[in-house]
Amino acid sequence: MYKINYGIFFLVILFQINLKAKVTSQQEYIDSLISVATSLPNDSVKVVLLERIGYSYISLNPIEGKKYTTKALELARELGLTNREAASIALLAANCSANSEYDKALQHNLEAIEIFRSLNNQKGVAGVTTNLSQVYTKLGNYAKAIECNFEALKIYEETSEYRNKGIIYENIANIYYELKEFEKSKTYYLKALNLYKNHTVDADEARCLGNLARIYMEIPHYDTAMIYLNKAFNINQKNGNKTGALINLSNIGNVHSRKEEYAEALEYHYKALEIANNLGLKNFIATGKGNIGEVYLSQYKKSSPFNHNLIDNAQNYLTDAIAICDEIDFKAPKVDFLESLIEVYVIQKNYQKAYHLINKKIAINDSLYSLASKEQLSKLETQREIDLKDKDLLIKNKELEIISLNNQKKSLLYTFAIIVLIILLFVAFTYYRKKEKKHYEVISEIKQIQSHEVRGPIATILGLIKLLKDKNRSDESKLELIEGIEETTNKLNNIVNQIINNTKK
Amino acid sequence: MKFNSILVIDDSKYDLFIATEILNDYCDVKEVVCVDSGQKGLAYLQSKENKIGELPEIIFLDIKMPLMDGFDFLNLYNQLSDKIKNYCKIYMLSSSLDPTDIVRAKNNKDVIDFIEKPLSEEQIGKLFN
Repeated sequence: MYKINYGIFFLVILFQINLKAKVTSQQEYIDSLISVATSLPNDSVKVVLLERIGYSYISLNPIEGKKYTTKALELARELGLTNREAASIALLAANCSANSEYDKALQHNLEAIEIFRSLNNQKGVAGVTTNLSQVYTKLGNYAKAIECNFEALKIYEETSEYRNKGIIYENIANIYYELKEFEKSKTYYLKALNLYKNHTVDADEARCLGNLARIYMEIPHYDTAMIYLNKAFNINQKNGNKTGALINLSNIGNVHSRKEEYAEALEYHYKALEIANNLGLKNFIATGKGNIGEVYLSQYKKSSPFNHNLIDNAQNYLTDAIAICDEIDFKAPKVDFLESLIEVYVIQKNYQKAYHLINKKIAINDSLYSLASKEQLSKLETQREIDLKDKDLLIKNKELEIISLNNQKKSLLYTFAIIVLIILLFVAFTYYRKKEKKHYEVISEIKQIQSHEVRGPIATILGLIKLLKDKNRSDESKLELIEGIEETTNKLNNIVNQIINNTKK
Repeated sequence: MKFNSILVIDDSKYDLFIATEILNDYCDVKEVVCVDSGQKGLAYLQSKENKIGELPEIIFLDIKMPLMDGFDFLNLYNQLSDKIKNYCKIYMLSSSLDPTDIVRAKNNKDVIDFIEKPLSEEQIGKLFN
């Protein structure tokens, strides 16, 4: 069974053009862009249009996508548009990643980040860093992936980009999902959902709900998974997001399949396949057919007496799915489908074909990066966290973690975070002292901030912590106090940031 | 010492919360009244002008507040009737460490003392017991 997890390449930031409502077929939509692009002179608008074509091809046909992003890149270089050059490289990376060429994707992403950095385009850096984290996730390098996410998060913390922050939380959740740390994964999905609900469009919420449902499929808690998937499906349906709806239907089919409700599973997979056919999305046609084939195989194994029509159906659908995977070089699900088809051939006693496929599968497996064991990855992650300890980033992150836990031990961590903030403030203050001779008036302003602005929240936090420690309080009341600490610490953090920004001037 | 009523004037809701909790727990007081601005504090005192028994015996006053800060409050408080002023004792309750604030507070004839935030059991003990 191939579960579709939606990798979100969010390159929205790279585009200034707002496009009209989606055309029925993705290919038609792209064709219309191409016809406009060919009629344009070689200017910056054309570069953006070529990028948009490349972006639209990511999920449809990354090989074509690579072609157009390369064109965009060449034109951007010719015109000396450095920002667009970086954007094109980032899109090229996204297409490489969609085409399972993770090495190239890695290289291009790093290249794009470097250019954005040299342009001091923080948003660009953050966007591509997030994409890079997804490549690292695919490569199984979860430690690096997490690092990238926190790196990007750090940039967004300063810009209050709620949607992008949400996407990063979702990425982190996806990583924990891969690590099978379902509780942590759930926490981050819920964080992301929370941001989406308050700040952005439904499409993000729907995707996140769909991803959250995958956790309940693993735990397993199929009824909850179903609730989330239906919720996501309704949102997608309402907004006409056909690809999203397709993914939901396919995953609903997977839940039914897990529950051995094969008739329902088939119904939903067929619905998903129909949408994929209408939209002309080959990767989803492949996964749809493959999933149907796998359901037939499971159904056959449970049938008594054996129903040979079912195994024939399985063979047909899986063969089709693998052929399409071959056509678009879609490696990840192909391994799953090959495995099922081998089983089909073994059942049919067609050992020659089975043997042939086993060799094919081994070849693909070798070409795909094999994931290291879970323990090793966790170790890497822990190591990474230790490395980051000196950075305020981790403190920020710890703060976020702590908020959700309302016990004594955690409030001690809070105190730690506050102390570090105070140290930061002290550093900022000392920095000011050095400039004292030149800027006496600046100093008195800082003194003002120091004594009123900064001492205020610190006193509040100390008071709240004391209340938290000294009394036999109900959990509810403790939570209120912790919320107070959170709110006030955020306020303090903003003041410190403000002071640091002032020192830069 | 027993009190009928204590008034706390502070714009921070959490500081009001802390003060209320501490006063209720460590001080023998019937009622803690909280207001979040100097204006409301003055209005409250004036409303009790003819009901002396209901006036607060103690007022905790924050310094840093928007629009009307603690010192502005003191200037206007000074113009209230003697009935009120003789009844209430004002303590400045602030997180400020600025010596000018502290000196200015202590030099005001209506202010009994300057207390550093956060309000705590120890401070209550020192003040009233």
